[in-house]
Amino acid sequence: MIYLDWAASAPLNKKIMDQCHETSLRVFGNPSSIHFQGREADKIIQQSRQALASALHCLDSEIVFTSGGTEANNLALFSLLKNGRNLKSLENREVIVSGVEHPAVFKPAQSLENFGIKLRIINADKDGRVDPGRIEEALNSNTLMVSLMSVNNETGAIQPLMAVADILKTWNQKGGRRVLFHSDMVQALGKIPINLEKLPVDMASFSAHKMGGPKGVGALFLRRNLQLNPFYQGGEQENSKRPGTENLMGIHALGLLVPEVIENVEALFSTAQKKMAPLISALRKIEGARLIPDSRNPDSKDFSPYVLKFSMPPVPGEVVVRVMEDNGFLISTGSACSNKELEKKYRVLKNMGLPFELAASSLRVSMGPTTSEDDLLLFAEAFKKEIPSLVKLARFM
Amino acid sequence: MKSFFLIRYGEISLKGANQNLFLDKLKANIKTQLKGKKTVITGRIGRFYLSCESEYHEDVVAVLKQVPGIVAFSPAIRVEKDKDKILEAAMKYAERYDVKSQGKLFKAEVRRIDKSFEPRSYDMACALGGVFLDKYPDLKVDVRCPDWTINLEIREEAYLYAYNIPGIGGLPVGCAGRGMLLLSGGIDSPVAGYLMARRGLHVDAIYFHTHPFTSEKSLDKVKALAKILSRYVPRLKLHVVPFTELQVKIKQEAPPDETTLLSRAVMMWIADRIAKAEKGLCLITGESLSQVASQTPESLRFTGSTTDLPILRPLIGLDKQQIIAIANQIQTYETSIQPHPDCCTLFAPAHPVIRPKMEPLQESLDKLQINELVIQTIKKTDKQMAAEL
Repeated sequence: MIYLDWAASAPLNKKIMDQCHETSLRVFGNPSSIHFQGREADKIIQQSRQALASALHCLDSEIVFTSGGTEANNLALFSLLKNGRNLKSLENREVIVSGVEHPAVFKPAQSLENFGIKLRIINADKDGRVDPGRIEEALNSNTLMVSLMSVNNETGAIQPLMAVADILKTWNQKGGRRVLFHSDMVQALGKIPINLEKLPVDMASFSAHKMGGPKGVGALFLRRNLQLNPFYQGGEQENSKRPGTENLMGIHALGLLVPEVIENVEALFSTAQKKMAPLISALRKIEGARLIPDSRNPDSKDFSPYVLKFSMPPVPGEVVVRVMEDNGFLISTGSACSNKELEKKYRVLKNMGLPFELAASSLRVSMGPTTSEDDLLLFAEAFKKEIPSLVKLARFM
Repeated sequence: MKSFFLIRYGEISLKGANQNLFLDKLKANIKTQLKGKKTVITGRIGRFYLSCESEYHEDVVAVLKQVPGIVAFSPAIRVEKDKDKILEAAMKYAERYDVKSQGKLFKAEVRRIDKSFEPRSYDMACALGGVFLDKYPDLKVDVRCPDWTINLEIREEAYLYAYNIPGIGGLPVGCAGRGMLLLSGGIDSPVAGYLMARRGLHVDAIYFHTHPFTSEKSLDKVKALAKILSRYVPRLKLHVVPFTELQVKIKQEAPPDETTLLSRAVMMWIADRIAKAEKGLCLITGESLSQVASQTPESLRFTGSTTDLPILRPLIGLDKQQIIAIANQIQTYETSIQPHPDCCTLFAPAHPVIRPKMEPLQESLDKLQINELVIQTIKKTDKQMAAEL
């Protein structure tokens, strides 16, 4: 079985998981305890924090460990409702998000509307990228926050974060009210270089299981002096920003993983481009297959080479996924997190202006560092052999 | 420590010379559902007695609530016919079972089938009631309109019991032969299977799987439903038919507005053959008149034409709310409504024929020439015991 659904969840890194397993048998205390076991546990958490901060080029105190990317995104969005704030003051204020955000950003952003906050949704271009100019146009004195993801989980489009950061900086310099900048970087860490010293986002979200770590752990980068509204009460962990006994083993794994995945990230990016290029080329030759976006170029720096979106209309994506599983390949129809919500499933592709049929047939192949070019070519061969006959059948439907 | 139950079986008592066949079946069904738990079932006219180790008490209660044929049962104590021992047992009963939750007003009733037993019924009832009043001083005796009754029967031994737990009634599964249920993942068909099992049919189930157009999760849902049904039907088997080839052929070759009816007819055809191979005497469906296009009288006539077995449709006159009420009662509803969207709707025509005529449909079915494909499909059918899924 060839696993090509890394963007949903990456296979576990055995070396690191073994190390975590061994450590967690030895160090099992509550990190808040003052005895030896507690101190050892706390030491592991602080070491992990340092490792993550060092990898991201930020301060240790700017890292808040969470239960994953979804929690980090929610914390970031709901930070606007921070303690003591007069909710009336939020009425008619605005939050800008792109229409291609992951549901873990899009849904909490939508629920901010319950507090009187207006949501401004910026459509992506046909290529799935957001034009920074549109964000600039949407900015006004009521804007509280901009949230724009780094790497799109469905199309692999890399969003122009630096350009948006520059726009916000200029806005601020011109005397505009401070606008918070959040980015969902769940699909970016370990795939593209991230330097939070140079990239002036205020908040960024990360998750371990997209990089080979365990599920249930992630982190929020929260720029110093920023406050947020903790979801829970009842503990002072994570500087009271995320109360609750820490996921020691998960945080340990995250701390061990990050230095490993950011090593040679640029060289690996080029290697991944080279691996993905033959698949892109093979799909272009299959009659009826459509790359999303059409212009997807294997050498482009604007797309994560680890994610490829394409479509074989009118065959429903889920049918192709099952047929390919029968042939030994595990792929996905889109965002694994949003598949259960059929109606909203195609929001991201619709936002890019794609017709429903193309969206409903869409597929995602996503790879990781251990995926070989042969794996992808074998996939292309099997796809070519199996799927065109389904097109004929689907036309009868 | 033993638990003891008194089981009443209601409708079977009305049976004549073949009553024992029903009783044996009921006893066997209880035994099967309690497999692995040592129980002893003895019987007499109108009731069974079941004894087991008390550690199985809750398991037995759960099973007896779901075995068709049982009208009601009571946790009881069996004791030697001796006044002191009976009163001692009454004290234990008061401690073990939550009689207070039945209400504050109670009475004691004594039936001496063995008239040689002393003291006489009235005196014994007073002594028995005294035990409960001593234990729970806020209880009150009300012989006219009590909330509950502590019963003492003096037979070959003494039996003490307070309250009834209702069973589901009906007749023991298997006494009416075997039937094959066309099971989908929806709300209706599990209810139809349950209702027929409750009338004594041993129900097996058949599911038509159209991989890759339907998901494995849909199949898992059907398996979960079959497993729930197996609480009522011991040894229920689930047959999973790989229906894709036939479905595709129908879709490609038949007139578009007829595809649903033709598919249903072919499903009946396959169910008929598998039912007969399993010594089945009938088919069971969850069809409800006019619920969908394939459930009009004309459609039912055609879809039923591929089998000569009787088709039992217990839901035919029920509306959706009534069906849902039963689905909730038998605990299939929550599973049935789990959303596992799949592409089988893509096979459904946009405008299905609602009042079909037999001859053109029969012609379309003949034209498909699928006899061999049906035989091959039946050969590939997978069979599993639902309780083990």
